[in-house]
Amino acid sequence: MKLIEAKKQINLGPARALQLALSGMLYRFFRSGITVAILCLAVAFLVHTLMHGLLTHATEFSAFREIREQRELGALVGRMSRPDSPGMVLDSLAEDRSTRLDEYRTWGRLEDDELAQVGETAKRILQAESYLESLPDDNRAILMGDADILTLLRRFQQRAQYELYLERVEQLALRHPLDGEADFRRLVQVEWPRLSEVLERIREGQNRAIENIREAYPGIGIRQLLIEPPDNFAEVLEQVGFAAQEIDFGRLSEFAAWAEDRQRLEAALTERMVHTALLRRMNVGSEDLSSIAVFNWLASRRGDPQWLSGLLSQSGVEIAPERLDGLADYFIRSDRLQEVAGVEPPTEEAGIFSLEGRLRWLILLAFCVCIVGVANAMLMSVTERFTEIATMKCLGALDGFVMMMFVFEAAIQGFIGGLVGIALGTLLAFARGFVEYGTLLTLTPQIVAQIALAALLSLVVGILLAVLAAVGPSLVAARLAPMEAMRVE
Amino acid sequence: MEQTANQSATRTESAPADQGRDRAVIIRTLDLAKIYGEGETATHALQGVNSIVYRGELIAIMGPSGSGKSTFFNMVGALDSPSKGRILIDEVDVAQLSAVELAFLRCRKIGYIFQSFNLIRYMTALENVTVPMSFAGVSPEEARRRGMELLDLVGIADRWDHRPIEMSGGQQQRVAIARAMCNLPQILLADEPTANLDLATGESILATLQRINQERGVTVICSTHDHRLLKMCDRIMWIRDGMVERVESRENIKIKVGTIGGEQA
Repeated sequence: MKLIEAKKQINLGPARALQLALSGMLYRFFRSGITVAILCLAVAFLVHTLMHGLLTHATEFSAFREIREQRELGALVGRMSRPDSPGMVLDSLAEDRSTRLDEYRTWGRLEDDELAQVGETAKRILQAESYLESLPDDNRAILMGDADILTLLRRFQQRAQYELYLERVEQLALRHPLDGEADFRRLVQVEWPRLSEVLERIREGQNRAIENIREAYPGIGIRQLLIEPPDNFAEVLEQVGFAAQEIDFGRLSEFAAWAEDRQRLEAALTERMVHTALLRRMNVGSEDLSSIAVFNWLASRRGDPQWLSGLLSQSGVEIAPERLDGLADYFIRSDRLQEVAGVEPPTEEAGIFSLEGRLRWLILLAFCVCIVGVANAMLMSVTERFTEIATMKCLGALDGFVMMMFVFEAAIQGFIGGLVGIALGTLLAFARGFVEYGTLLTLTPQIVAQIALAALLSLVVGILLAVLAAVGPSLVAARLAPMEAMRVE
Repeated sequence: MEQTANQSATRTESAPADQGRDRAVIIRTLDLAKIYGEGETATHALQGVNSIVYRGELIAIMGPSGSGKSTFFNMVGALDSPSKGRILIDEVDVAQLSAVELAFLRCRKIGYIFQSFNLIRYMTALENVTVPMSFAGVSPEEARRRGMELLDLVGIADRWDHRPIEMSGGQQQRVAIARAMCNLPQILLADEPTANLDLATGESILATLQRINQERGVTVICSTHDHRLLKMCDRIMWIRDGMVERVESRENIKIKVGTIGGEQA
């Protein structure tokens, strides 16, 4: 009888490897706990960074939108009181904003081709402006001083001024805006006078429209009209050329009412009696009392709207205490929105793959921390078990089975660590978001989907990291001759 | 050095001649050498060992620590590969075997017993015994039944659900013996099985090994410092400085027992 037959050793299935991995992990509860904890922290860091980025983005974006809406409402109030500034008209013409163009077409009595022509000119002016803006500061100061492009164009209508400009460009050896001197000269001498005339026509038209509104509602201020719009207000606006179908009168009236009350409060604050009483009550030095300071005081625990309402009524301004609280909430929120929104408009789409550069670096860093930490934990877990691996091999385990055990163990640890890490990271991200933004923290369905995606991705990353980190050392261990493995201690 | 090796080889060959040439050879080593490290720092653990182990015998391997005893053991058990020379187990060269065939050999043909027991810490006694059976494809029920039988054989059936940490050294070594026996191996390799045990326990472990050898006809190769083994074994092989010093059968030892006792004391 031969000792070694042609038979091959049976490779046990994954079920047995899983079972051994599990019972091993349970026995080394503390040790595997540490590995899981490291994985958990790594995943938590990743999740937290991703989610915080998403939340920040969503909040900033929604704040920016709200601010923009408020600004537009404010602008709307302004547009019904006085004509749009030439700069604003120019921007609208260049941008092809259809509703504004419709208004301007009516007020300026413009034909389609004329409108297209001035739109083209407006674009060229903005193009020239952006070139001049891009010049080094000292050169720009010599050419323009602190004039803007429209002032400059008006100034260049005098031949002497334009000659001076040409001379300076020559001296500084600069390029002319647009396609060289001839092209720019055409803008200054041909296109600008035509546009300027159109702008004047639009201004007159808008003035007339405003006058018409006043005549339609004699004795009522425009602000009062906006707070309580009469039934046929939209029609009247349409008739005089305003694009009224674009206006949300509900929101506009709400906004106008807040603004009106704030203005009344601010007017009252300038009265000596109110001013001194409030300063004493608020216990601040003799500073200028801004309305926002009063709002902050009202929102604080010391704030007393009842008392303030009484004080204001003594000087003839009637604002109910509840209304004062409402004003404080509204304008503090709007103040915070300004802070949150920042200057740059955020991009529309927020996704985990479109986070800004600084965040990407942070995530990359988080990845590195993950890899180092997990690799170390796995290396330790494998090396401290070389004897066990060697014993297993003495008992007839195949290399593949040993590998499978470790890979399963790593995957389980990665899974558990990943789940806990996601919970922890989510909690941290939301806690931090809440501390930073308070009630402004915004969750849209799109962001929730992205957050879920981030969590899922982090789980996969956690498991992959654990497995990848375990493969190296366990491959080495599984391939060693049993006795060599036993010697490594 | 060559000559010494050849001499010892001659003696190895001649020794069984006295005992009876009808016995089959189960392990044969030819000019076996193992070198650890390279160049200046290389350690020659074995320097050309020629030896023969017969089927069904209990052979003791003796020698001071550092003599290459354990290295010889690991080579014979196919746990480590030699630097030079050949090991034939049942006339098959171990070096020719693939990884899978080696695993098959370790699983079913050889049982290992280690100085430090090497039980798997997170498994109970019974689970430790059943692991090699699962590698051999035995069904879990059958493995449990055979495992309990084996634990009974080594006398610790009542501790079957204890973990290694809850057992004494002697009990752990008994579990290790049961584990080594579970796939009915033809060879049992015991590397200083009593070194970590007290005298009485060591003796009972040796008695268990002897019983297995006599009752089941398993070839037992046992390295030891323990002289009580001498009265149980069939032959003794001395290793010194990585070479076989001499090989004697027990009958010859009895005559010289005083000398050996004197040497060691």
